Amino acid sequence: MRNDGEKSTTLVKRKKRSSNSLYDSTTTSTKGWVTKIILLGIVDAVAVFASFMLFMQEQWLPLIIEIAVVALVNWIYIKRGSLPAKYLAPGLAFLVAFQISVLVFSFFTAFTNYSTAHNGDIKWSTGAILQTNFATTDDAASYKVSWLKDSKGRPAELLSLQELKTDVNGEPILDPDTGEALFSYTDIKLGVQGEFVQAVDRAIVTWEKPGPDCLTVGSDCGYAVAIPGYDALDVNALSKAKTNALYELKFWEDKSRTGFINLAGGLDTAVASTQIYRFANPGGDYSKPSLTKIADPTLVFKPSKDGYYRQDGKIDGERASETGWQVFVGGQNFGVIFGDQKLREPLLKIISWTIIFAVLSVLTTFIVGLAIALLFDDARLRGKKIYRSIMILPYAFPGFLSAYVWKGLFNQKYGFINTVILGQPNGAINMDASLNNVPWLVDGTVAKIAVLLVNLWLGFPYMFLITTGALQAIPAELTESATIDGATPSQILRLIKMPLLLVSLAPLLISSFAFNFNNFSIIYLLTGGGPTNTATGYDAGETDILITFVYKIAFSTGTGRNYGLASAFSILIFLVVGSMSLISFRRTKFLEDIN
Amino acid sequence: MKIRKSGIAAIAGLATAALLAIATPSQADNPSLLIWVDNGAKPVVQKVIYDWASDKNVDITIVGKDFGSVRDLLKTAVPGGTGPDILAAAPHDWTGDLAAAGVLRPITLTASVKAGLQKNAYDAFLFGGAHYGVPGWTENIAVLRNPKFIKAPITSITKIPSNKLSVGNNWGANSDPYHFYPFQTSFGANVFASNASGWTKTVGMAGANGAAFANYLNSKKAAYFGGLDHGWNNAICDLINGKRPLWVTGPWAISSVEGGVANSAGTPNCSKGISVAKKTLAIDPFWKGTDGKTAKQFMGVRGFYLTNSAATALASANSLLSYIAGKEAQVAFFTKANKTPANLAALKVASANLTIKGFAAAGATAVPMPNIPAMDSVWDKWGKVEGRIMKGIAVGSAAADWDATMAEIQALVNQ
Repeated sequence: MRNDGEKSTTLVKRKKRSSNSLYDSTTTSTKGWVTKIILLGIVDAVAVFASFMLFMQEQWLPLIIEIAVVALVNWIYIKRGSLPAKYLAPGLAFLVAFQISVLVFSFFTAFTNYSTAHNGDIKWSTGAILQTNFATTDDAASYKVSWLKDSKGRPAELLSLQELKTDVNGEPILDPDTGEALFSYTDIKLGVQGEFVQAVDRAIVTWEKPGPDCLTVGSDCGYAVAIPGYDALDVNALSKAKTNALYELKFWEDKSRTGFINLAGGLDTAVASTQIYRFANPGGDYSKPSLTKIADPTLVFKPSKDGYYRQDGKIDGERASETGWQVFVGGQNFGVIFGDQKLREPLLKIISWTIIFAVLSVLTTFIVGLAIALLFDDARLRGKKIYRSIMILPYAFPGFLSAYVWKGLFNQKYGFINTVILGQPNGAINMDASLNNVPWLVDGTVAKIAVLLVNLWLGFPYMFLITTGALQAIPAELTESATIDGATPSQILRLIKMPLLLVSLAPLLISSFAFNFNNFSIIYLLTGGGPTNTATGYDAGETDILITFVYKIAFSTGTGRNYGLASAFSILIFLVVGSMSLISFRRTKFLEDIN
Repeated sequence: MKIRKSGIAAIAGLATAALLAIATPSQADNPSLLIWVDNGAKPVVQKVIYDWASDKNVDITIVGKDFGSVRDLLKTAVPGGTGPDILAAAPHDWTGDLAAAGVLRPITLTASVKAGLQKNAYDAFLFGGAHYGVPGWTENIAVLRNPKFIKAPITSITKIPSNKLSVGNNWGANSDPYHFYPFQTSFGANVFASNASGWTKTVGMAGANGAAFANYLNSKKAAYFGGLDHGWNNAICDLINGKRPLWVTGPWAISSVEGGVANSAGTPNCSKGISVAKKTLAIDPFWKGTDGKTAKQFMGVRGFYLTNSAATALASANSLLSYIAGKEAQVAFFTKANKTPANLAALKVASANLTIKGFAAAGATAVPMPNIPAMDSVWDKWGKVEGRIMKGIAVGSAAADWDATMAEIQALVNQ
């Protein structure tokens, strides 16, 4: 317990501190503390859970990073002082999570061959390949399975061979109720885990439907369910892991370990299959795995540099499987971008169109927006509020919908523009490119113009808004005094208003350029990048800008997915847009100096 | 201050423990299966799967996905460990793409289950020597005929009457190779060559057979195909009023034909539909090709894929797939949504519906659309060259343009 004197001095100190506590939040109210502790508690609880999961998955590096970050966050918020860190920490955390990590991941992916056929790591892909490592012929033997266990507790399959019943034409006879083919059970075999499959005498097994004719082959008395020396195994009572283990059991037919019997359907039916490759993985760490063809042991498939099992591991060798895995390919993706002759022509076209599209989009929207803003800035105009509200509408209407509406309007045969405005008979097909049959989204050049028109429609209200704001910020005295000095309206616009406008608008124009450079949605929704020109093998369309082209490479059907190449492109786009923005922002400092 | 801090630490500790308790998943005893299906097919398969699950005591979660994105989602979710155990009712032509990505597990069926399935539907899922899916239902095109105007089915490609035929609908600047495929195979030009382990990457449309088809298209462009670029409603109307009493199309058109469409100046007398049941509409198989060749249309098969998820309860998943291949499940698909069963016994039941019977009979000659990834690269150029020939704007002769285009397609495929 403290005495009263001490208490009063602390109070005084607190009061003093609170006067300049804007930069030093060492004192906090109880409410603040509780809030802080609850929030930190939630963060820590999630962190403890996450570290627990990471620990179980043996992800050591992420675990260390996670603990370090959480410790840092706790230290920042529990520690007295360091207010800037308290404000910056969440922002920095989100910056790392949503910007830097994505950038790092893209950068990393750009140097791999991550694509449809290179989807996982070597361990995962080998697992997938080994699952297809068997062949079942169309006339492979099928068995009914009864599960048993031997005296040592090892699982065993009692197999009753199914012989299909056929009609005179050799076609199987189907059961009218179940739709399955009718059959009789003939040979009986026994597979015990760790031993080879052996034939069993029909006389010693117990039958599902015992009858006098059970000993004759082809009788209808059912399948074998038990055999002396083995106990029944209730597979339905087993856990999922145990039934999965049963499912993966292979009962080899002989020492060559080629033919085996594996389950098909549920746990009660099986078929005879043959193994195709023998897999070897010395050391178990996938440093030297190999697949040897059993039918021809001279054919050995080893990992190649491009992430496939290829013959002798040679880069031009035949593949064992279409499934590969991710490998680092160095600068190969960048090599494709810069070196591929087939890509060069469409890529140069796309780059130049991207720049033209971005520049023209900014210019047209700015000019139209500025013109309307100047018009509405005139003091003599009445009903400005109504006009301004109408002008905002294209901007207020969801852009995604607008793009689709415009797509409909531009339809060559049924679109509003061709049929109503230009008066083409509805739905008529007219092979001549006459005036009332404008191939809006079909012809490359016209489609480019259409895209720019729609982007103008979508973009001018924004420019109109910001220029209106900036115009209103210019003091009226400046224009008045210029008028008194005898300046013409065009001189006022050119020499007084424009420089002042550009100071405040230049950063917005630059960001508008960066936005349009990557204006994915309008291109994707309006033309899909088309009309397509596939002469090069790449799905490059006439109105494709870089980002839609990258999207096609990564995600669209028709070219296969190539995330590695798409990431390499993304990095280049980042560099282009980043450096353009940097240069432009430097330039705008010059404008600020004028001011 | 110290007391307070430790108290707060205790509260924080409690909160942590509580969150941990909430977040720890409980263990279920029954095997469980996660199934993805596109939203369109979900209502068709949902009840069948739930019925099976309650019968077998398996916990089922069916998640509806967007058709356009489910394939890509699967490719990233399965390696990440969040993928489903089964992808239900997905098109068979995804097989090659998904198998190459390593996200599928091959399927083995016993001889008795296999024998119950239409062979071409079962083999639709064959890729690289392994079967990856169990067929659920099939779909193919046929020739719709108005028997009032043309009494008997067309038996040979040479006997198609001029200006009496619509093909597909509204195929725009490109042609529609899907609907023209039976014409093309009438000349023996298959899209890809195939062998015992599935499709190869060799384009089969080049050479003499392809040239013969190109010349055919060129010679008949006015007689058959001139002005075929009319819309859906026109094709329906022309079939009903007898202007073009033959229409190459699929089962999706039947309800519209039976319902009729609105009359307009260019399209009179078509508000009253014609129907299969009243025998005012016939569904015919395709005609014979040249030199005894068979006109083969594409078959689309919706099937159930087993994915390569590590956590799958294999016995349950495989047992479900065997059940799907059986009569009971496929009859249910038919009763629920008029799907044409891939199971032969179920097809017999469904054949009580004359539309299904007609399309299934026509489908006897159908080949599954190639399921290899290379198929994606074929459509665009293929459609364009057909379009050029039929519009009379082929580069050089029709056959030369065709041949050059096929060489380009082969180059695309080899890439």
